[in-house]
Amino acid sequence: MDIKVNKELLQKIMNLSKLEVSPAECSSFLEDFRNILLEMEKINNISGGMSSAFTVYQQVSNQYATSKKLDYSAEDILGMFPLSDSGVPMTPPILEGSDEKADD
Amino acid sequence: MKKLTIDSFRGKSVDEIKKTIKKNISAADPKINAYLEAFDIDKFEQGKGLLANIPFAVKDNILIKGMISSCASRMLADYKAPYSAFVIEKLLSEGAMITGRTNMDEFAMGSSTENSAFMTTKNPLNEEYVPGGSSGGSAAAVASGMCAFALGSDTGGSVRQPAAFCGIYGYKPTYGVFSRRGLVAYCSSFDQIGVLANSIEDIAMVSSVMNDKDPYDLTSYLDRELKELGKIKYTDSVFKSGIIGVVNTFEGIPVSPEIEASYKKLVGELRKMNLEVVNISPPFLEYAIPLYYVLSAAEAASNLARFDGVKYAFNKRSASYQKLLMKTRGEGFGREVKRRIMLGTFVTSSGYKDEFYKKANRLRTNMKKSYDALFSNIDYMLLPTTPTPPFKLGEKIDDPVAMYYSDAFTTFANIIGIPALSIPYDTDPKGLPIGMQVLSNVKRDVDLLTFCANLVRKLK
Repeated sequence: MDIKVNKELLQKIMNLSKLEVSPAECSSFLEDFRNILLEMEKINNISGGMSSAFTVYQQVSNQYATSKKLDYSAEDILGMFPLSDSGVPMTPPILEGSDEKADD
Repeated sequence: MKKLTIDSFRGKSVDEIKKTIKKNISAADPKINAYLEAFDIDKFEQGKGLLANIPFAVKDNILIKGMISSCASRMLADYKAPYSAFVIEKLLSEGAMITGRTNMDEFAMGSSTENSAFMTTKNPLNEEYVPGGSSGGSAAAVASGMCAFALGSDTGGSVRQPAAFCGIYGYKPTYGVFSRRGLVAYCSSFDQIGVLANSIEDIAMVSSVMNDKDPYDLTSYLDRELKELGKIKYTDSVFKSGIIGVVNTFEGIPVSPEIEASYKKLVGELRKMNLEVVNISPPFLEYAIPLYYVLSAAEAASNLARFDGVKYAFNKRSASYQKLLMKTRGEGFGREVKRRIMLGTFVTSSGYKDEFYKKANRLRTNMKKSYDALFSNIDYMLLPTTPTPPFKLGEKIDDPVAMYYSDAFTTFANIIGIPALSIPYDTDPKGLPIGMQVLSNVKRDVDLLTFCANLVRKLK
């Protein structure tokens, strides 16, 4: 998401927040606010369905690694799955419904 | 510096206890600044009950009837509490003695106790370093022998992180174990009162006294096991039946070499104990900080809207209502509180709500489900309490994002409501303490305390 954090936006937020801030304080708030929003935007890395490929991996690998029958570490399992060109782990087929086909 | 426990006061007269506490406060507090106000304990009369005459300190956002509860804010500098918090009533009914109200980050927003409007608390182990926050005053008071235990509040790690920085134990219970009535609200769905002490036995005893269903806090509940806990059972069976999850990597969170080395050392020790140790990958851990700050700021902006200069607290007289409101809030709140109110207003405002607030809420639900799945296979999880050892006073105060990441390993417990205990485990080459955190699933507080007490005994 491309948010332009400028003085206008900050002034709007301060009015909504009912806060009167001195001009000197305002300029340092602008810098802080830019940095904080940059960090908060990380939640947008996760897709709308809330199951980014990576977090699906984590769940799958946790299930395997903690199963008493199998002696895998989470890292071993993560290493078994391919990465996309951008370095993001790809969704395991088992979670796309293809496990039923495999059974057939 | 002698660390005090509840047992160290047993068999002593109330006058002896008062003398010890007054002596310790006058020796340590002028240097440490743990107390915003040390009470006149000479007024305290002989207590009766499980905690008779046991001295404890209270974070300044927990109400004590008739006393100032300032939340370390200019906004509430003269505010006197009209009633006592539920947990205070419980402790007083068992004869405990309040030593004073402790310093904190303003409205519990911060990780170093440098955001107090009144003074900065120093780490009792090295005064050039922060004691952690936001319950830094409570942690420093316990660590320097100024009380037997202290109450803090933990919204994103504010009990565990200062406990780790001051070399003591810090317990954040399952959401609802302690009533929040009388705790000044910052982020209601994350806030929990916690206990800081020098032993897990003390935490267990204090928790059994404070836990109960409060009709005025519908999220509170009676944990019968905890209520009847009394003394911790020491038995090797907790190791035979428990499975503990550990990590090989820290999910992209930068961790200092000292913390990483200590963590690996502890994992090595666990493996030698015949414990079943499995490698896990804590889901969404890398998103916990952004998620926490979006949601907590949104709730903070709403909770702090009550400070308008009209109903009570600080008031900056002005010609119009609008000016009164803006000036009161502009002058009454400190910098970090303003930052979070602004952030909370922004992430819930029209046009951005879907991108931030709604998304964070969906992520929170998903995170809860993922950890439920994980905890169906393991009993406990081990993580460092903090990514670094204590940092120097002033080191991070101008970099809010760096400060936020002090809580990188603690916030997720509040997001999903699980219990966690920080244990003083090691020291870094400078002699500063390093804490490790054990977590379990919701409502497994007694198992967690029992496991940790046995673990600590074994590690000694």
